Amino acid sequence: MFENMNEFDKNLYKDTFSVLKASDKTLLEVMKMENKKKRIWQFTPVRVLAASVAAVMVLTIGVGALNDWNFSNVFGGVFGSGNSDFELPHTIKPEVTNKVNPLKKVDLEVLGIAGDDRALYMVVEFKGITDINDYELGLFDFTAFTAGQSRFGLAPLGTEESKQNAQREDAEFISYSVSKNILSESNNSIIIAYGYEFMNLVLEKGYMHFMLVDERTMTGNDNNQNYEESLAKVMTFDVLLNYDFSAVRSFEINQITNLAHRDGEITFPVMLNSVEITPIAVRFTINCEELWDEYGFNHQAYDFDYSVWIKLKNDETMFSGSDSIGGGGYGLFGGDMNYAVHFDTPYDLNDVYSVTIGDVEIVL
Amino acid sequence: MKYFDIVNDITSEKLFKENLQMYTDEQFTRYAQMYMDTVFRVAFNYLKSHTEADDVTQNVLLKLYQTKKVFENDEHVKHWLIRVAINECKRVLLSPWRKVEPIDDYAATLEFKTPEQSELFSKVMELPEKYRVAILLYYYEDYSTEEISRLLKIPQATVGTHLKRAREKLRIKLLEA
Repeated sequence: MFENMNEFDKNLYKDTFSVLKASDKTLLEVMKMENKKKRIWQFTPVRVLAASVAAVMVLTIGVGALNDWNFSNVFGGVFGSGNSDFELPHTIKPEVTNKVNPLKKVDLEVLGIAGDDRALYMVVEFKGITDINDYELGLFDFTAFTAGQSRFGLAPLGTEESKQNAQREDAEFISYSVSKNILSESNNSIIIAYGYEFMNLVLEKGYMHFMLVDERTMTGNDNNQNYEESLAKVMTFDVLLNYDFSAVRSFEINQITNLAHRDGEITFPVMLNSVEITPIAVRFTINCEELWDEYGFNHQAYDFDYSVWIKLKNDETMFSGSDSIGGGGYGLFGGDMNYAVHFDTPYDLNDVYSVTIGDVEIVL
Repeated sequence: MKYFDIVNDITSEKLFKENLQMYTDEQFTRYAQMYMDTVFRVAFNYLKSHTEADDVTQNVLLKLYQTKKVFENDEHVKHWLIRVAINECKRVLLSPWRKVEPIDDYAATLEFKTPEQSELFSKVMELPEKYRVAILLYYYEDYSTEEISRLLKIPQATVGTHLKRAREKLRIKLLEA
């Protein structure tokens, strides 16, 4: 290592540490990122077939996107009634026609979707199932959300399972044991509810993709006959939960705002790089560098307290509340960081006069 | 007002391209391939945990995928990735749930060419974190002390001190071995 015990052997060091490489899992995750937009089209034959029977719904949540559909009746039937978790501001009885698996003639109906920027629940019913066997039924989920809690329930069983940070990849899917006797007697149906909580649509724009398949499709098959049979049972649909993109306003303002340090001693410049305003949320990116004072000491912001306001043209003001960005003991600095605040009541962007973040007012 | 629209063909592709992120897949793939292991090495030297280093690597690349930052060149991307990786590592170190895992098992899986390399790896990992990272950036990534100073946000003289002490400690450890 040390030639003549004095010179550092750089080449030996490089050779040694060149063996350190990110794992295959990381590589897969990276590939998942880059294939996010192509996933429907470019995956395995199972997915290709799935895509062929997919229905894509674009769910745009606009102002007052509430109707009189009582979602608690639907979700309560699966997760239990009186669950306040489902009192979400955006609840939809989607206008969805039944989607038919052309191979097995199983009807799929989306009974309801409820969601906001931080949670989404969906209830789906499969009707007219005539050939189900006693095997696992899995919900295969290609969403990019990696944190939070997934909830999954089967109405006929009255059961619910919650999974924290559930893994949602090929080898690991959320599943239940399903036997023939859980089918409702009236129409041989299964009602399945699936939900995400604490997902972050700030970063992901709400793209969600569900696939419902049976065990043999998911876990691989010993012989082609089973494989082909399983393929026939693939039923899938994609849901794009999205805000009305036509209404979203984005700004690249590159404006510096001063957000006071919590203890009031130092004011840090914060670069507000971009702002996006949706009908229920304001998203923004900040970049905060540390400060060097005149004595050569380095200061880093630990917490930023900020407020976000929306001022409407009728002089009404909507206040999202104050929030704090915590950087931990080492401060908050470095690359761009994305944040968002959410409003309880949707608003029409046409009615918005300005948005204020910290001390920056953006007039639309 | 109609709130919901059922689209029977995949019109979402256009929305994604317009809204998800500014990089093309090709650009992101290129950067990920170029710097994924660099980020992992930085994270591993910081955290001494390959699982945490993998997590950090994923998070850092996700940030790259999502950032709207405009980069001047490849070196700028690399610098930014290392900077973000260091920030991520610091956050991990602060986690109250963090468990320090022995690295022997992981070290045993690494394919060193010679026993000397294995020994060096072991001894470097015994150094304090600040020394490990400084050595990595200086000897592996070929950054100058001035560049390391900017990356680690510490004075340039401190970088020099870290490197000197790291070499001294390493020499003693290897002599004792």
